Amino acid sequence: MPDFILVLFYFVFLSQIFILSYYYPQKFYQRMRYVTENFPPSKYPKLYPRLTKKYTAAYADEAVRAGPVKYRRINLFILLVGLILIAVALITGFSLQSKGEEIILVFYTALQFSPIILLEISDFKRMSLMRKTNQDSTRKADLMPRRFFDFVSPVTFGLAVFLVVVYTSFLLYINDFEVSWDNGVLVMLVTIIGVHVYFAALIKWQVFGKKMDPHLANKDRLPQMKTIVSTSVYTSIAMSIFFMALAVMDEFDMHYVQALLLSLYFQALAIFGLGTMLRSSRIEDIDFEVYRKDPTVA
Amino acid sequence: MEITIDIDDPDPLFAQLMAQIKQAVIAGELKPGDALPSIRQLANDLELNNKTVAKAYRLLERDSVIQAKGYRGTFIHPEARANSTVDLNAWVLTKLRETIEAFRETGVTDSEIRIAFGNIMNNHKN
Repeated sequence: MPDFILVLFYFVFLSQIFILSYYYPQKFYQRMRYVTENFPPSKYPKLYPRLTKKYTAAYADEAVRAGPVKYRRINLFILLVGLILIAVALITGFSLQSKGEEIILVFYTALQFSPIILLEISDFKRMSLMRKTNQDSTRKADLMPRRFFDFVSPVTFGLAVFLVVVYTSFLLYINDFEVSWDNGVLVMLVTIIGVHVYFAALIKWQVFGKKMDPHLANKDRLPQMKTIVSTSVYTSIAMSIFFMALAVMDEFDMHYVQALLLSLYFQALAIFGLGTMLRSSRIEDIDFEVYRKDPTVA
Repeated sequence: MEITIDIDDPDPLFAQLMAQIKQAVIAGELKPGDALPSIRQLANDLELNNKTVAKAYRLLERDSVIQAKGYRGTFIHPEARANSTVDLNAWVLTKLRETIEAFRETGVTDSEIRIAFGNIMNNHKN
């Protein structure tokens, strides 16, 4: 294995630690603080159905401020774990030989993604409780039809489809069109189909399904839908490129670059997923007045 | 353009939907050829049953306010503005009132009118 690959891996892994455990968590922390400080449970009880049901207004205001701090601390701890991993690798003279380093990388990345996944799960539960406790008798809807291509350009979608076709054709070609569990072709095909069925279901549910947040204004729902659709399409593109690169490296017996590619892939997922979410939905533009105790009170 | 319905309002939900679409057409917020959301999308957004929105769309189509174009979707009818001012319910009430008055003038009792009306409606159903 050439030395520069190891040096490159260290830089790429450092960049992963920075992007996933500092840069994006910091952005999310700022968003959370903006919301909890400007829209506290005492004035905006509909935004915090669990807290307002459980605690007094004053205590709920205190409790809600603890969330962003906890989130930030968890991410800083994960960042520290990453730096320790690099230090251990440097001390022990670690080299990329595809002997389990990918598993450590995958576990560490799962740890990096876990705060945001937990945040999403808690958000899902919060919205479910919002729907249960919603007592508004009025309901609003936009009289504009929503179409898939309102959220992603046909060119980008076409590129995603093209890359899936290219990857599956390439996979079949390098395996002499032999489809079986033994050579891993069937595993990859099932993975590709499974992931895309999941994306399709997610898009259908988010764009054409029932409203998750019963109070959210329609203008604020659209950026969320755009995030889901574009993240799914971009992830599909990144996944096809990543799998193709892996297959090529495998053909040339360059297993030592697998960890490097994995790290790049995870970073691409973060940039496409979290980055798109932050870009398409500015927190300052969201209408939080819909969560007030009495919306008529200014 | 946003639509608002009130589930506590005594007016039926489909009637609220119809009235608001007609008002939007009259106000020029919806123009001939404008696309409307699918039944499922509108029902999900308003947290209503699909059948309620389908009923509103069916009656609006009957009144030539909207037109369904198969898989392409539902659109505002070219003559929607003129047709939105026609109130079929008011027309039915006027016609029935006139007919009932005519019966009463000839001496038919209210109970005879009710029985006859019921029989006709029942036969029509069958």
